Order: sequence, then C-alpha cells, then structure tokens
Amino acid sequence: MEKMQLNKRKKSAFYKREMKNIIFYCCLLVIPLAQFCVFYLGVNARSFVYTFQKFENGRYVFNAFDTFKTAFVELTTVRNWAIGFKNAIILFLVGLPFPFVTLFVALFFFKAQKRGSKVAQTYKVILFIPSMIAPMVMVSIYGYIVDFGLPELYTLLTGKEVHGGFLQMKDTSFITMWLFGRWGGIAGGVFIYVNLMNSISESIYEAARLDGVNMWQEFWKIIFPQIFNTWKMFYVMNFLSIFTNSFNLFEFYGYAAPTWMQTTGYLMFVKAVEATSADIPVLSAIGIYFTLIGAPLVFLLRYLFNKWDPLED
Amino acid sequence: MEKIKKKKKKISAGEIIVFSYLTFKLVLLVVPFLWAFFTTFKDSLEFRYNMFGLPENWIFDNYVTALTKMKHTYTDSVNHFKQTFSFSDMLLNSFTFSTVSALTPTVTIFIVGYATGTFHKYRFSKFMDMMILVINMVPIFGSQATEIAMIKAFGIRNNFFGVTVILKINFLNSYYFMVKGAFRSLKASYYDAAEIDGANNFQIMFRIMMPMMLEMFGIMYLLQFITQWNNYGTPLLYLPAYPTASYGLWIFKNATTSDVTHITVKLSACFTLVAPVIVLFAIFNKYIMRGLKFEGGVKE
Repeated sequence: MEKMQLNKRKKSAFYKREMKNIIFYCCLLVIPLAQFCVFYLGVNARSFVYTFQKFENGRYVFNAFDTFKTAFVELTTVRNWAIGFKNAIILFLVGLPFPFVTLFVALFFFKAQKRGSKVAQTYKVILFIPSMIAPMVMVSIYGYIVDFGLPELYTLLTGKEVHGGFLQMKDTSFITMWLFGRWGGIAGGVFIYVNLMNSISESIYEAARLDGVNMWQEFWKIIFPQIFNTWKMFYVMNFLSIFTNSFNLFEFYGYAAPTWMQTTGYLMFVKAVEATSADIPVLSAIGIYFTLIGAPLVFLLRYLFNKWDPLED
Repeated sequence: MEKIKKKKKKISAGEIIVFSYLTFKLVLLVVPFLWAFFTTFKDSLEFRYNMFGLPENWIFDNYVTALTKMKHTYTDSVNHFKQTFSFSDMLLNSFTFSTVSALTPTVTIFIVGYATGTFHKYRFSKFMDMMILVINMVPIFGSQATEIAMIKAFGIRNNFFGVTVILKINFLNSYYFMVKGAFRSLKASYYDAAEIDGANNFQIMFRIMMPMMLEMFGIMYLLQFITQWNNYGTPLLYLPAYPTASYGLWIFKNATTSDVTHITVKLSACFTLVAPVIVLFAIFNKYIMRGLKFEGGVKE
C-alpha cells in the first residue's frame, strides 16, 4: 500500500515537472512559430491562392486557371523572358567548373596552412575582407573602374578612343558584369572548404600518413567524402540560380537594366517590386511554373549526387 | 650525439600555382581599392588630368561634401509627408537599423535553438528540424510580390519596429543547426544540477545555459550586424522612410545633383560606409575568421 502511494506521488511529481517543461517549451516557440506561420506559410499560401484569382473592380475574384494561361502567354511571348532565360542558362553553364576550381585552390591553401605558412594566413585575412564589404561599395568601385578608369587606361596605352564605359557598350557589358562576380567573389568558397578540411580530426590525417597515402589519395578518400555535402550544395545553388540570379543588375542599373543583359532573377525581382494589384496573380503563377520546373530538377540533382556520395562507399 | 635534422617540408608545384593565382586575384582586388581610395583625395579637376597618379594636393573636402551635401528626399504622396536625409543622417539610420535588425534574429535563433536542443526528445523538436531541412531543400519561387503586398497591408512598411523586429523574428537560417547542435552538446548534468538546486526553466536558461554560449552569441551578432550594415534591399523595399547609408549609395549612384554627381564624392561616401566594418574586422578578425564554433562547458 505504501509502495503504491509512493509510486503515485512519484508519477504525479513527474507529470507536474513535464507539464512545466512543456509550458516553458511552448512559451519559447510561440512567437517565432507565429511569425513563421504568417510570413512564410501565410505568404506562400496567399501567393498560391492568387494564382486562381484576378484583380477586378478593386478586389480579387475567382479566375479558375485563366491566370495560369495569362502567365504562360507572358512567359512564351514577351521577349524579355526569353532573353532572361537564355542569360540565366549561360551563367549556369559558365559557372559549372567553378566549384572544382575552388575545391582545388582550397586543397592547396589548406596544405600550406597546415605547414604553418604565414603567407597563407595573411592571404586568408586579406582575401576574406571583400565578403565584409557592402555590395554597393563593390559595385560603385567596380563600376567607376570599368566605365572610367579602364577606358582611359586603354586610350593611354593604345591611343584608341573608347566610346563609353565597358558596362555601357553592348559588346562588352555582359562579360564585364560576369567578371564583376569573379572579382567580388574571390575567396568565400575557398574558406568554406578550408574550414571544413580543418574540422576533420587530425588523428584521421595522422593515420592516413602512417598508412603511406599520398596527397591525392588523402583528398579522394578522406577529405572529399567529408566535404561532399557542401560541394553538392554549391552545384544545387548554381542550378537554382537559373531562376534567382539577378546578376547584380539591380545594384548597377536599378530598374533600368539593358534588355540584352536581363536574367529571370532580375525580371522576377523588378516585376515584384513594381507590381500593382493586377500583376500579383500573374507573377505568382509564373512562380508556380518555376517551382514546378525547378523543384523536381533539384530533387533529381540531389538524387544523382546521393547516388555518387563517396561517404556511402 | 646525432643531430636530429629537421625535415624541411617542400612547397609543391600545386601550391606555387595556387598562390600565384591568389596573388593575381589579390592584386586585382587591392589595386582598384587603392585607386578608389586615392581618388577620394582629389578634386574633380585633378581627377580629369591625373586619374591614375597619387593626389597632388590631398584634400578632404570630398568627405565633407559626401556627409553634408549628399541628400535624399523621401516623399510620401499618400500622407503628404516629405523628409530630407543627408548621408550622415543615413549613417545614423544604418547604425540603429543594424543594431536592432541584428539582435532580433540572433536572439530568435538562440531561443529556438535552446528549446529544440535542450528538449530534443520532444517529437515537435524533431518535426522542426525536418521542417527547416525541407524548407531549405524545396525551392519556392514567385512569392515576393505577395510578401511585399502583405507587408504593406499589415502596415509594417515604413514601420521601424515592424521591419527590424517583427520581420526579423526568423529562425529559417543555416545558423539554427549550429546553435541547436551547440545547446545539444551541453551536458545534461548542468541542467539536472540546477534543477536539483531548485532553479526553474527560465533561471536555468538565462543564468546557466545562455552564459555558456555568450561567445557564440557575440560572434553571430557581429556577423549579423555587418550583414545588416551592408544590407540595402530591406530599407529599399520596406523602410524607404528611414534610408540607411547602403541604400543611400544605391540612390546616389544615379544622382544628378551637381555637387554629388562627381565620382570623387561618391567614392568618399563608399569609404565612409566601409570604415566601421573595417574597424570591426580589425578588432574582431580572430573571431570572425574562426566562425561560429562552440567551446563551452567545464573541461574534464
């Protein structure tokens, strides 16, 4: 009897303690979850509902699938979208080799750092700084260099006049913009890989060295499997950039980027900012089309990468 | 006694190639910045005839012009309201905007990370992890126009508290998993010992667990502060009535007022914006370069 009463009291104390923990847990999460429900779930749900509506006489009315038809017509007939897709795909394809290049630069940088090279440490600090600087500052400095400095330098060296800046001339503007991405994004990826390589336990490297592995064996058997997920993520993000990459056009040109340079990401952003109530359903429908194309391809890409995952060997 | 010869590690050919490539990139980065910096000490006349050389007469007027004469007028046609901001006003706005906008998400991530890390056995914590992973994996496009419209409808646009606090209570961030992992790695014995001593959940959280994470909190706040200092998109879309310096640079890039059209003045504004970040980096570079790592708890 006494034992039963003792057990009953223990259970009651346990439940009281658990209730307090649950109430505390709920108090911590209620506000962040409410914000998430409104500004993520609510926004996406409302965006989805817009795709079945149109704006008429000051309010939104049910429009079945006609908004999807309007969006499809816009995507297939408005020239800007075709140019935008073309430019976005070019940027995606041109960006494909860079995760490899970054990885190999990171590998040799990591080796130098492990050797205790002071040069590597100095380079790490200086090359990290651009990631701290405001994009508008980078844009301004690069813009003035390529529109004023370089044309003037070209004239001084060759005696030939350049009629306008490299960002203004149709023949040179696209490549100049692409070079900005290479100029500004110097070292971010390298240091992500270097940090990941540093996080692998030293004992694993020691064991590999004792087993007599060379640098490339160490890379393929130890380092690459550990950083594979991050490396894979860069490729997935590169693919998603077909729909999201604004190519820094808004920073350089604002709302008036030249048509021949526009990308899908830039068009979506500018149209979203300038959208009237009537435009929102069409933009939402365009977003649905992008999601229906992009999401399965992202899953396919992840599936293919997971098949190749060296950690599973 | 045999001398133990120290084996000198050879520099590989790959390292030479990589460091040559990085040196080339370093030069491409540093030279334009130096050019831009020296340009800020030239007047408009000298800039024309001496574009690439060092300044002949070092003048600081461009910085004064940038701070006092670069102005932007915000006009609210609905409420018939106009306000003019100088670049120095925008720098002040940047400071308040960055301070609050960085604090909100940092606090949010730590609170959510603590909840799901400490009470990781609850099914809802596992659900939260899955949900955040799925959200990061599944791309959804086209909702920005809706977001802008909803924020306007809620009256958050041009509301400082709304934009810097309500919109920033966000845990959908890559930092979430790091913070949650850090809280999860804390020994349960700290929690149990505090409970035995009679501490309630709030006391345990704020007096025992959170103090162990102060360094991580500080580094995350610093990184968020720098991100918000450089952020021009949020003020452009949601806070045009409180223009920050970064947003101001975007406006002035296309300015046509005679005092401020000149490159020398605009570059001076750029370096004024960059200076606080460089100072922060100089002081805290060891922590910023190290990133978010947790080394807390009692060493055994």
